[in-house]
Amino acid sequence: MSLLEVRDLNTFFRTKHGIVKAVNGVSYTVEAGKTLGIVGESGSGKTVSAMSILQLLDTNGFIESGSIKFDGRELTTLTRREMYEIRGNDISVIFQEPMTSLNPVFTVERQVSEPFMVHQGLSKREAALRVLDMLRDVRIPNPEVVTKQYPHQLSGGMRQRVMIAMALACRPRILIADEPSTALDVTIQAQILKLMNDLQEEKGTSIMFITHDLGVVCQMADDVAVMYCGQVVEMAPARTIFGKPQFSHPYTEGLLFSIPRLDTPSDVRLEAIPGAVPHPLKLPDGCKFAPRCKYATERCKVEEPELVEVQPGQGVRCFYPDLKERRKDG
Amino acid sequence: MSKKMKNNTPKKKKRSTLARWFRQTVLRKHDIDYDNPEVIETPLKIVAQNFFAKKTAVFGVVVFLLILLVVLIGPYFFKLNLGEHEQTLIHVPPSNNMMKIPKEMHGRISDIAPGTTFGIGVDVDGKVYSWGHTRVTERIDLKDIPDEVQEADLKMIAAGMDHAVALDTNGKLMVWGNTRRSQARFTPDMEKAQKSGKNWNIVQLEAGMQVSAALDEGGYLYLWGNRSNFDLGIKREYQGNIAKIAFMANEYISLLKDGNVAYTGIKGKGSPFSKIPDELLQGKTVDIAATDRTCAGLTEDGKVYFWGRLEKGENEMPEIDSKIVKIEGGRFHYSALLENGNVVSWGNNDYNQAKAPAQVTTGGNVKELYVGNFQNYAILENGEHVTWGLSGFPLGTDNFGRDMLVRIINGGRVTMLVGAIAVVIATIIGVILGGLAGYFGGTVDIVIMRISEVVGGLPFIPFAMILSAVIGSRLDPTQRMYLIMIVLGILSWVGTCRLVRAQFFAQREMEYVTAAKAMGIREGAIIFRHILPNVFSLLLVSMTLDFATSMLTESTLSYLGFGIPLPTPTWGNLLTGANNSIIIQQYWWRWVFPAVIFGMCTICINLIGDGLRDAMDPKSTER
Repeated sequence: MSLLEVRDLNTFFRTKHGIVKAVNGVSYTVEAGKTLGIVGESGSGKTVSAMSILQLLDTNGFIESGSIKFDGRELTTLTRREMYEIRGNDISVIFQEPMTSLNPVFTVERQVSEPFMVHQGLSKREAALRVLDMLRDVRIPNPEVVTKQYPHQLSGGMRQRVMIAMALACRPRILIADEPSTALDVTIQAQILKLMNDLQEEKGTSIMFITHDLGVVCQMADDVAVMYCGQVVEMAPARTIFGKPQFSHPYTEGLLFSIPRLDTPSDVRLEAIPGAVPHPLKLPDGCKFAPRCKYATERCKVEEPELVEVQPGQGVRCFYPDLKERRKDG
Repeated sequence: MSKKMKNNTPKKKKRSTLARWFRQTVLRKHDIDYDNPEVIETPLKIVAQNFFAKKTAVFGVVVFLLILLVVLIGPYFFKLNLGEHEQTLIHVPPSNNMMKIPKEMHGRISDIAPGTTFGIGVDVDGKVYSWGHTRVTERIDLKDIPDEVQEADLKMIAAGMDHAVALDTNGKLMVWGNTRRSQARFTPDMEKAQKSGKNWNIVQLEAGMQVSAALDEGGYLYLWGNRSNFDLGIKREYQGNIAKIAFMANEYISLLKDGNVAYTGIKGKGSPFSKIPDELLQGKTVDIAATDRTCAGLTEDGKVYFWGRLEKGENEMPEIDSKIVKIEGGRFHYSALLENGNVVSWGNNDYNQAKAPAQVTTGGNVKELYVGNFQNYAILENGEHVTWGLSGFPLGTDNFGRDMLVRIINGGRVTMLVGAIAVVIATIIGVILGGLAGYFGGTVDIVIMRISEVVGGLPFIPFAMILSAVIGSRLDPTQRMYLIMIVLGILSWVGTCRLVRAQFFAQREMEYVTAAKAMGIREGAIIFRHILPNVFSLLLVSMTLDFATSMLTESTLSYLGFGIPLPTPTWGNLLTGANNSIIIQQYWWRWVFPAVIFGMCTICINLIGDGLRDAMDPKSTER
């Protein structure tokens, strides 16, 4: 059984202009000790689907339907009080902006000891000792000094390390990393990613890795879910997607074409996906990607495809999943 | 040079360059200076640095702390007496010269007549001087000694509350000062005696509360002055038999020639002073003296007996080792000159009038003793003089004769306490409501903000006046003080609430709030333990400024008479009297001093608040 199983999740937001279907029938699973990468453009519902798991939606957001099973337990029906126990203890989150996700008026010690005190009921002094261990675990040099410092005295990478230390404090089963490396420069990014990989090996934590950076996903993830307009358009092992796939969604194909590769000849221009993401209130009928898809047919504009398992482990939401066939037809 | 430096550097601290290179390149170890980690700069430290870099803020802090210190510690030294009412000290201007005998008289004193707040003195050349608070009204001033007095060959002088009497060697009586209350209207038998010279060999001249007395050697007593409050008569049977008299506030007693004491006034047995101790009726009394409400009689064997209303310790005479030569009464105390040349003082000591200095209690060289209401003058054998008692009020007195300094210090404590507690109440309410409204938003916000608008829309002063009039009439002054604190707190939280709400709106969108939520921290803890510290700096500024406002509001209410009632002093009700032109013009010290210290205090608090705001948000200075 999977550690986390999301089935047909619908998360909507009430706005002045109508209901925005931010997450529209999303399903994915996170296996124990593995990493699930979720890829997609801004506004594709990556973060909302992850936040739905912890019920950390804005006040106008709500889970319309679907099920989220964590270790066999249904999370959507839990009370507020029960959710407090899950958050930070079983499932914790690392955010994108290490600059703002630490409380500016607390010292590192105070920040990191909070989960120890809240979830494990440790005293301040006991928690402070555990904080030092955690800081060492996330490879912070000189933790005795850093622990007394304030966020503004730390660099971005150090802050993200503190954030990771805080998230991993209670040894959660799942770590949701919401673009943890986006705000960092490339060298620090590499360090943080390596750190996360190392920690996963050490502690066996499952990671849900949300990013729009395909390179990072390739490096981190075991499985990949590609999201577009609140839907999972492709679900496959990373090896399949980044190898030489037989089946692929046109959106995944477009994404892969739009990043430079070492084997791309230098005179070939990168291919951009034409058009823009449709407005969330004016989603097209039929396939959501059809208006931008170069393979789209009349059928695509009228009828919505289902996520079909094209081969074991790989699902694609397209009428024409076979790469070679559709290229020939197009 | 480098050689020298190397030799001087202690070996422990620095490794040689080679060793360092070896460690860094071969062992790949870097020297981390664990002894001197980066100096940790907390946000608080930075704010403090910014704050103290600003001169106005530092000035504000220093002055405010001084005022606070005076107001907090002062009341222990300047004790407040709520029942204080001293008729003779009403509206005394700031002064320190009530016992300051003029330089020209030093060493040449021949006679002194101490009054209530002033003194009249004659030097050996017969020149008359005055000192102290001599002004009676705008026109009348005892300082203006008439020429006839100055030129006459004086035999005796006496000073009362607002007039002075002088007698020359020809038996001519002269009165100056306030004469509006018959102080200079001599009785017919006096004028007759003065004209004929019969029974007019005056041996004692006394002046009291607008009354005067002259005693003839033959025992004839002449009394004149304001009869409205004073028992200014003499029973016929005593006339011609009186050896000495002493004035109380509204009566007098006499020592008769037969050595007995008698109440010789018209009231007779009706007066409380007519209950004279038996020991003084044995014909052995040698001297009498009187204070405001008590009398004392000295017998041949050196014993002193007291009667009257002994409420202020007038009878608590210390043990003495010598015979009393002369006993004199002030308003609430006695001083006595002893045979061995020492002086003892006892009785009420509010103005140190019963605390004679060691020089006269043990010096043994006092020649003469003069006692005024609160002043004592001892003339030594070498002609020098020693004084003790009330020398003046540094900030003057009010319409009840109360020391303004004491009232300002004690009033400050009340005002600051009321302001501080009102701010605390307002802040607690404002933070809780503002925090809830700002964090939860939506319906909670709408409901709370509507409530705050209703409270903010109440006309503050009228509402507080009505509230304090309706509820306050049933309360004692202390409860009323609490009522004012609570009323101020309950009516002034709106600003704080709006500020906190706006800040929470901004803060709750910050990622650290989401992070805290994701950590499984409960909402209450997020509001008050995570967001509130981020808002605290602004809250502190607003609290500081609100403190000044609360103090001002309390003062406004007290000034209008709806705040803390008199006689409890506050900086507001000290100004209560200052609402007519007489007080504003003539008794300027009654409003200038409270207004100045109050103004200083609020300005300093505002300077502190501004400094704090600038220190916490350096952008606000970049205009």
